[in-house]
Amino acid sequence: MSDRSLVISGLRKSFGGVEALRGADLACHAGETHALIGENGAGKSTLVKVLSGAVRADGGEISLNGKTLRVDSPMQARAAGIATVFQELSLIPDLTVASNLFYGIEPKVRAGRVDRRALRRAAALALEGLGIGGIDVARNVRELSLGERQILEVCKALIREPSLLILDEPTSALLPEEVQWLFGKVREFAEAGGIALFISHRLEEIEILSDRVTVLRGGVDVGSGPIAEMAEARLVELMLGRPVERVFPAAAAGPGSDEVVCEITNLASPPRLRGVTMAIHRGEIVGVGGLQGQGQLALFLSLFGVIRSTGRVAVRGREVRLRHPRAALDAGIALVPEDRATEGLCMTLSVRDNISLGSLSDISTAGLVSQTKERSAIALAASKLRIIMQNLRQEVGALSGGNQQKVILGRVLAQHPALLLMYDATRGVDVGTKAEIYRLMREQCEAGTAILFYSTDVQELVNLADRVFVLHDGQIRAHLEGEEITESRIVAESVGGGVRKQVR
Amino acid sequence: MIEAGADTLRRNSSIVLAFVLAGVLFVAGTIQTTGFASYEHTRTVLITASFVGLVGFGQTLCMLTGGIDLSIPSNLAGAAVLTAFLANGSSAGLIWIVPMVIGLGMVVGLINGLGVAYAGVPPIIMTLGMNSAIQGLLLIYTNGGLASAAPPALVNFVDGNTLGLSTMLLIWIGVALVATVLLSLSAFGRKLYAVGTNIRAALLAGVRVKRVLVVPYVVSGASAALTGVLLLGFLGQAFVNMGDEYLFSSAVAVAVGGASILGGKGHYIGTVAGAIILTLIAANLNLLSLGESAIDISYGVILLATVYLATIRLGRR
Amino acid sequence: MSVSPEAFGPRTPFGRVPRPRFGVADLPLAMAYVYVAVIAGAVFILEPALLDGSGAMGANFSLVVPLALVAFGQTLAMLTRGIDLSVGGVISLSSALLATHLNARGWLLLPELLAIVALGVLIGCLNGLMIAFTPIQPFIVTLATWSIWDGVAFGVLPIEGGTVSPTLVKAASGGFLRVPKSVWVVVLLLLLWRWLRATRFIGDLVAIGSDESRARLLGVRIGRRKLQAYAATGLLAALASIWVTAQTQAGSPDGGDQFILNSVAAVVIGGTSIFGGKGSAASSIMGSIAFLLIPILVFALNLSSFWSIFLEGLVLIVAVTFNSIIQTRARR
Repeated sequence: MSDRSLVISGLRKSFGGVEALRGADLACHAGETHALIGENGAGKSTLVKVLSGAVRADGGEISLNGKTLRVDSPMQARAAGIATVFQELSLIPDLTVASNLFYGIEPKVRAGRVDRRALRRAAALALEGLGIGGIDVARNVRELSLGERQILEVCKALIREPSLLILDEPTSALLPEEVQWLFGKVREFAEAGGIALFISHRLEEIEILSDRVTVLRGGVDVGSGPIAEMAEARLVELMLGRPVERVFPAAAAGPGSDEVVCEITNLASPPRLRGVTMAIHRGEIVGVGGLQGQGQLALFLSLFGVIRSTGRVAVRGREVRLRHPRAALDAGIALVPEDRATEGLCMTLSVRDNISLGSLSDISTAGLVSQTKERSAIALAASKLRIIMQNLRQEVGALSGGNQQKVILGRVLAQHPALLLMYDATRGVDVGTKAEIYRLMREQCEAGTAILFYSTDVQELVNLADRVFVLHDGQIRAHLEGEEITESRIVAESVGGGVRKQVR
Repeated sequence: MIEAGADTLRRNSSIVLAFVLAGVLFVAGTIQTTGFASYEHTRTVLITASFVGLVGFGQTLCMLTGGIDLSIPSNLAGAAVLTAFLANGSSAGLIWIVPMVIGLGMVVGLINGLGVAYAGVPPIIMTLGMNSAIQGLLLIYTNGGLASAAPPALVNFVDGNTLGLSTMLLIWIGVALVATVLLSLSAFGRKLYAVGTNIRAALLAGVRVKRVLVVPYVVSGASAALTGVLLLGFLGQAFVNMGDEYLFSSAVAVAVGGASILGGKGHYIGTVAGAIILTLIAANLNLLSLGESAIDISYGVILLATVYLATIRLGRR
Repeated sequence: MSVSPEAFGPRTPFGRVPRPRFGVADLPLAMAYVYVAVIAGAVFILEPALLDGSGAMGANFSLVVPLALVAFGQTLAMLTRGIDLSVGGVISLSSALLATHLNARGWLLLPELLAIVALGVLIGCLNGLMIAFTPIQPFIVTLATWSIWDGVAFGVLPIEGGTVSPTLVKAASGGFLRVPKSVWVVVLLLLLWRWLRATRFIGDLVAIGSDESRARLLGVRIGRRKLQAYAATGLLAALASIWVTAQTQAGSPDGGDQFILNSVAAVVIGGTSIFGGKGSAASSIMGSIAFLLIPILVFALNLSSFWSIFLEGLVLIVAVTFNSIIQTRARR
């Protein structure tokens, strides 16, 4: 058995003032699938970025197959035999499937020119060889669904016949048969002598696919071993850094209110959302689940007036025309967006400006902002949410991630919405802030606000929601209440009502 | 109290630096000729700067939203030429001509704004095309663009003094006050900065971003037209190319004043400093007997330098 | 309560019904040909003599050459989601130099022409370096450099005029094998694009314009490609200037300015996306032809030539609005 391995020691990387990796060690060998798990912010994606050449490490050593490795660029990574399946995908939307598949390694290049026909033929052949049929290689990637893109991204990595295959959350939009296909391919790859590094936060997938697992926490590895010897509870304990405890607040006591605060009838926004009907009651938390890319985003954006939709939405009995977020806000619907940095905050503006942005008309007279009204409105929000900052004039970009999320909440709650929409609001947020957000959610509910939230974390759906709707292909596939809300049930409904086949 | 003051200074450091630079240039000019610091010369410098400053108002708003208005030259010239033609030498009609001309400037700006905000056209292309279109209309209307004379009342107005200060400077101060109220104190100003910083986040916060995005171009059309009318009075005549120099100087004045080209950062007060700086640079270069060539080159270099410095500071945060 | 999978319709292996190859998003690239056909048709009906005969064709194509060259380069910049306003400066400066210092006769002209081209490449490289390695947007960088090089041009040649090398004038006129040289140049450009569009160079430019952060993950050398794109733009602008100066037989310190709007208009009419990731230099050349038909149309309609300036601006506004709406929708 040759010395085919990936050994990382003491890897360090900081972004600005934040230390993402603090001397992490990792060792994986040829023939094994090694899983890397950890909470959001533990350093997993940074490690992937370093290995794939997207960022340069500040310190530490990487050796691949016995040789010290320097990966200063994606090209160097590729040359070293590292192929990465990126979580955010590395596909160019305006190029074809064939062009993307063979980008940089086109089959026939003469005088710098790519033979397009040969490219298409090679692409069709390659996909067939990998067991993928029925895809038109001349189509632009922009036209593919998220699941199709994820599969293409995997194929792209596999055909480069790497020595190290890194997979970063590759299954979020895949159907069970597609996941089986992926696992089969990864196993084939490992058995042929490759090193596979698999990053996922889905413990059930880790258990099925991987041989060994390493846990990251706070930028360092905190535990490693064969998967067979690591029980789930132990893994979670290592990820969180303490024995599993109740992170979620107690469920609401007593039955929910009967008063319907938001009635949605046949809400559709082609092509992703194809018709959804639901009623949300005062003070209840409704969860939306399902595989990624099944219309959940379209649902939330439609309800908030960001995209055009058909159908009927009524808030507090009155029908509303959701043509613009302003209309939604005025009707009592508020949204906490998915991505803090790009959608939620104006990073270079102050905390004060961000919080009051949504309620400017309330705090202004004759077009001018009233300093007194603003001060009182914001002070309330800041203290209630316990936002940690130097002062209100501080740039919001200087705050920690968790506090930034609170600023968003401060802005959103200032309008006292009847229905609060939260789209993956706890993604990339540390455990402490997550707990606070859960507490806030319960508080809001007790005060009478209804919450509709989407999460990729099934645990959140199980522990927070009074009811859960599972979306598939733009429609509601399942509606779970009370006792029906279990992890296995949600997962089962997300993937098609069948039982997940155990391959091992 | 002192801490709040120091904090304000720090946040607006680029504007303070701009004024310091203006001071330095002023001193440099005085070193070369003592007449530089005379009341007459300073007044002339400030009045010359005021024209750049006035068009700079609209340009500031456009650049705060990450855009730019390249149609200023023909808006300005159009307003001047139209006023001269309609007045036809007499001052009688000015009372309705001037508002109408400014209104037309606003219409042009509105078309620009609608294209940028609602159709998603990049501002540079939209306003570039508009500049040509308006210039074409102007040439058609004047049939060749010969210079035409200004009505005397206008000339007297612009050249004269009101309340002891040059009328032009008074107007400029007035515009600066309006700008400060708009940008620093109004709800609209908050929305403008938000749109310039992160338009998606502003939209999701409930700001009607498209409506907000139209306004800078309407204002720019108005300020260009106003400047054109005043410039007509100042020069005593109007001709088709009279606005050309203001294209570049308005953009550079805004940038030198510390506005970030990416939008979201900056203030009109910085543009005021920028306008003064540019005028002083031109004055200094004239003293060194360097002509238009040197001015063009230095404006370009200054634009690059200030924008580059601004991006470095942004990166450091 | 759950619904069975069959209720959701037929599933192709990838779960989605294939879409047609030619959609609304492809419309802009085809429009250039429509524009040319319509405007040329109108001109031909009104005043056939303007388009008929080799004399007319030669004269018309002579105007197409410089614009086609600049539009070609502008296309490359726009593929990367950029723009090059400094072509105005490059053309002005080259023109000024050709009318003053670089106007040798005979074979001595050749190294001077090479110097002009090298100058264009150098200016383009400077643009490219700043655009690739600083966060300053292309329109600001090239707006500044336009001013700088126009300024230098004014220093070299303060007023229009100067003397242009007669060798140059002769070389750029007349025909080759009974076809006007201008037509040859345009044909060569079209062939060049045909060859180029399958290269990794163009592929990388498209990737950069389509999604720069993902292109970086793919290992595209973004800095290098942007540098090359803007260097090419500078080179082509210099070539355009050589042609124009040879035709007008005089240098002009700001003669390049009109090419800024014209080249952008040509590219937009041609259908290249101003947001990057999609486009064709061949369409931009068609767009140049369409654009240059406007003054001819104006003449045929017996309107004053000032109408050209107005219509050129109007056409740019209409074309770019139309394209923006379609391309913004497509990018969603």
